[in-house]
Amino acid sequence: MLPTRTLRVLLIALVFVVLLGLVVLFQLGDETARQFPEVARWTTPVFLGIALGTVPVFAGMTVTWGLLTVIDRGEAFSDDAIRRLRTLRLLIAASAVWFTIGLIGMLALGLGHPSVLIVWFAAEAVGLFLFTLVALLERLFASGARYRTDSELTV
Amino acid sequence: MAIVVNLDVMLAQRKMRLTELADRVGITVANLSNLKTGKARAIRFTTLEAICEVLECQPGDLLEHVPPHLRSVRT
Repeated sequence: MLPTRTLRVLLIALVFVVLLGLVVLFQLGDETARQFPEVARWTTPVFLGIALGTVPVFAGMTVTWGLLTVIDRGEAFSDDAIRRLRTLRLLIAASAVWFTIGLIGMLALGLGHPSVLIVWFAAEAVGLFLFTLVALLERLFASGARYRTDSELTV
Repeated sequence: MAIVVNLDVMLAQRKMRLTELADRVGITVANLSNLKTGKARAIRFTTLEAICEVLECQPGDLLEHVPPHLRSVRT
């Protein structure tokens, strides 16, 4: 199953990219705290909030890994695959809501720097794109599952 | 579904078992059982033709349209 093997490698690479992003973010926070002592007390809570926001991202990667296993089993058009896609869609939504709450919190604390807004906007745009894509896949897989059942129950 | 398959009636009239029909038609017993119990969603003309040939009957003898409101009365 070469195609899913490639996707699995990409998924593992993505895990490392997110982890690396967290490390870079932590160092950036450290640097910001040194340059702007007035916001130093917020760097740890903000970092922890962002780190917590990656929980749905990692959960989504685990769900995607499971989905690839289902596809490898030849059960792509099944209720199991559709359920996993629905979970993935909800995780994307959860992540988007979490980062929106985070942005509101940061604005309330007076930490609404334009760069924060740009990063938030980019994250939400990616989230919306992925949400739409997964919702579309969910519909396609549901149609596929229905055709498959029809085909199996054609005598 | 409003289409009722009267395969069980036809088999009983001919004193034929489902396995024998499956053997002679060339489809699996599981598929034929799906057809008999009304689980099947569709039937191919080739399958219908083969069943009709073995049972020496017409498609109309096997398939019947019964509106849903009459089904409960019949059963």
